Amino acid sequence: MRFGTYNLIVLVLIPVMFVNTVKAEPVQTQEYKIKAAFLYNFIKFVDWPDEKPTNEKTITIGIIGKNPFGKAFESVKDKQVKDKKVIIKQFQSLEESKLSNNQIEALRRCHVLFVCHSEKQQIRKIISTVKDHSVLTIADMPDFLESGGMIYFLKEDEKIRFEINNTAAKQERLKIRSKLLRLAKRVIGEEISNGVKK
Amino acid sequence: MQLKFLQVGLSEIYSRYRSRHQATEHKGFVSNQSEKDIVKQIAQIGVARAESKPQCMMKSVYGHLCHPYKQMTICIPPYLRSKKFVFVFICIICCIGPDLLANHADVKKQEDFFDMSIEELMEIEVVSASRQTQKIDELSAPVSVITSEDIHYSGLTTIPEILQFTPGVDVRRNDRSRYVVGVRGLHSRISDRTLVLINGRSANDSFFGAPDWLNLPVLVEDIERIEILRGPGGSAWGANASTGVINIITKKPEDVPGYFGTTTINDFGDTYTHIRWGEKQGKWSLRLSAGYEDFEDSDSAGAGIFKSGFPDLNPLIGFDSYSARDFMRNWRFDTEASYRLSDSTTWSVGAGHSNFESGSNEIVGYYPQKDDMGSLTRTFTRYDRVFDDGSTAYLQWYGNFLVRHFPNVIDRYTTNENHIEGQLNFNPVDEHNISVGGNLSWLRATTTSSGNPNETVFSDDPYNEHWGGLFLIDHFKVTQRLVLEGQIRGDFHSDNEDDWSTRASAIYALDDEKNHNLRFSYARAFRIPTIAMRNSTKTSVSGLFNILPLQDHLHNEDIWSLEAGYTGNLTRELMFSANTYYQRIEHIIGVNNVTVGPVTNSTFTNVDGAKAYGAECELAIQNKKGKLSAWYAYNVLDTDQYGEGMRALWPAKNKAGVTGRLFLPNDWIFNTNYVYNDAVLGYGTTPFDAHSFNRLDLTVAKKIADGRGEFTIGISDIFNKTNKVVLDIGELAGHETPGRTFFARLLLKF
Repeated sequence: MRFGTYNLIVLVLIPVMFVNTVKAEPVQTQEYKIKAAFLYNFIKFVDWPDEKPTNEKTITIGIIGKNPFGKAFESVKDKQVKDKKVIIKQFQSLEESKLSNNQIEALRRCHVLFVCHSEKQQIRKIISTVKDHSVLTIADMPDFLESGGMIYFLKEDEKIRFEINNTAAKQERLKIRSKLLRLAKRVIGEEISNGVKK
Repeated sequence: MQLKFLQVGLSEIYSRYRSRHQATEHKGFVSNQSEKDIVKQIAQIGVARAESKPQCMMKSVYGHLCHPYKQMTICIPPYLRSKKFVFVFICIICCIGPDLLANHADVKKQEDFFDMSIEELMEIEVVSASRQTQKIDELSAPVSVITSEDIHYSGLTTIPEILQFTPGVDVRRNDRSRYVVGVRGLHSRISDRTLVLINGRSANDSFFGAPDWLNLPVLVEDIERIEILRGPGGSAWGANASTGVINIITKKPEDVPGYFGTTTINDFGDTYTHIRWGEKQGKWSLRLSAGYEDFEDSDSAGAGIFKSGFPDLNPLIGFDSYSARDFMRNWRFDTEASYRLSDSTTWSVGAGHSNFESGSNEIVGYYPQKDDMGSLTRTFTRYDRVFDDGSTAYLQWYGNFLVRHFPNVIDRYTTNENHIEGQLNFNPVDEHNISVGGNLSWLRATTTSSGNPNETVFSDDPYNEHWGGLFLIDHFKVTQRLVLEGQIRGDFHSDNEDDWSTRASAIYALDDEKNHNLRFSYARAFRIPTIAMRNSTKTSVSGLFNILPLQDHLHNEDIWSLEAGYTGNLTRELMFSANTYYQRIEHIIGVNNVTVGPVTNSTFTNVDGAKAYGAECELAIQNKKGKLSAWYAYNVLDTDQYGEGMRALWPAKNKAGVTGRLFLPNDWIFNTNYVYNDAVLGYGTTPFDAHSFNRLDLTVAKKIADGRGEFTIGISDIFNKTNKVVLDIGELAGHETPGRTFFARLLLKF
């Protein structure tokens, strides 16, 4: 028995009519969605010194370089951490051009700074730029901790893990709470604080 | 709501179809075994990987494939042309249509990982790029994954024993050192319809077909996972991935730092010992593994009673002298090293070696009762690169070098295989994820005869053959919910027909979170005849059984497949999946037997065709406390002719399994595996060796020394003191093998 021509046309055309031919949004990998959520969560377990000169009502996550997160941070605009609104700031790649003084100041005002892969040759320069400004630096590039970075994302058994350079964090007067240190795969300068803010 | 409506609509169609056409019974739906935490990387298989949350179990396919079988015509019975059907179909489309039109860029509908804790985020598996990186919601074929945790807590030390607890996989044990394994059946020692890979590199025997499972240079505790693709996988791998692909993936050197040792002993005196050292220093990481395995033969292990399939021939074949000689001793060595040349390039190299000695078995009445010995070396070197725009590529060479003394077939044979392959993955535009690649391979094989007239004669020795292929994969995200994937591959072979493979899939997410996904696929693959089929002749049992030379060129065996599936995350911990398939196999490479009086002459030839159909489904729940999964597989194979000489075993029609694991207080772990298989046919005639079986394994483990050690006791195959005889194709006699086995294992790592 063969399917009638009419019904064949119906079966083919109806679905085709509904196919969305509008250009789809850029693909976000699940990996960076999860890392975005990690960044958001890290804020809960890190204490910045009172002297950090920032807006009391906001916490800033900076992303420097070619942004792999896409729109992963869109939904965080409606959320708060420690009674503060989270805002995202994108900084251009140092590969492309030097930062202006205003941009450098903005970089130093970030609470968290994610260094993208495109900046792999500029890691040390970026870290020295934000030195002494209590910026929690994070990346997913190997040797990041050895270059002075504070949190390094890695994958183990297809799951996201992280390592912490607590020595670098303490040098910047950042207190990483014990819970986060315990969850880390490796901690450089392992001294688990009692998590009490002084 | 949409899902329910869809189910209702399809249920209506299916129930009417059954009532009018007395459709074949499908009791329940077979499941794809998979686990919550698995299947992110299926790259090398060339199909969508994903966290293979099995697909939904719906009520079977809503189409029906018509005869004549030479046309792939999808026919729908007349009642489906009724107004009611059209109405139902339009309603279904109306449900799906608005979602297709919706702007899925609305980020309010994206997964909200921000509501999860760090601990929960750490439990999520992430897809990483390989052949073609894809997620569970973009699976283009049903895939099951056996994790390292499954392997470890099973207590098992042989890969086929581990595979048998997977939906759709048929495993039969010929004797203590020989197994036949096939995805959805068609398994035998010379059947290579299931492609076996180790880290994406072929492990099949290029002379005879199926791999020698117990002589692969892989140690079970070095396995990170085993991925089992059900269905044709030729569009990524080329020849001989007809019924499925099994990819054994080992742990990366950087994931196994430190010292590790384990030894297992059972009540027969079998031992399995494995030691390993891993190190990561700067840019280098290295893994060294070595192991020794020793099986007693079945007689020593309390089984081994011989049974003859042709009692009248017993005097001729010297049956009274037969004893179970299926012992095995195997030394294995496996190493892998990787060096990070830069942040974006990695060079890796490795070698594995297996040196084995085992007892021979009888084939077509010839039982020399000399030891089978061999040495297999596998080496590779590979260069991986990640480009600034996110593209990835690799280039590798690998070689398989075998020397084998196979006394009941040929005194000695050698195979030297070399393969060069490469692949590039890139996104020309955001919606398209493209992979292109290919391989060039060459083989030199030689044989040496002892002059015994019962040995198999291989003409045209030595053999120098080459083959290669090119493939293209496009993974197209049409919308946030709809993915289309196309795979095409062309292959050439110096001594076989050139051929091609393809897979085309549509994957549709029923919800924005992609917790419920439908998949529809069409695939084609092919199988080439091995050297043993093209070039062998044999005279056996004083001329009563003979393999005659080929008269005609053997055509490739073709397989076409239509597939549908559903995967559903019912809750964060509970998942359900089901898939169904219909396949048509043409030009089956089998044997034509002509019996004149007492003499049987066999000739390898393309026999008729067959159709295969069935379904698999699985329900699984997994959390930090443990895991429980249950699956059912229904796999049918109908040959066009009764008694068709396929030279392979039929799949067990009904298979079912349960796996349970509990992480108890004070570092106790309890694990159980159960599997049931229906009887298995061979040749389609009244089976000599068919028997159904139940198997239940239990293990209890306790971590010791602050987690640096573990002690395990277990019992495998509780229900069967011994297992009945299983004959492979060509065997006239066989013996029972031991079943119920008590074992203990000690593991230390630091």
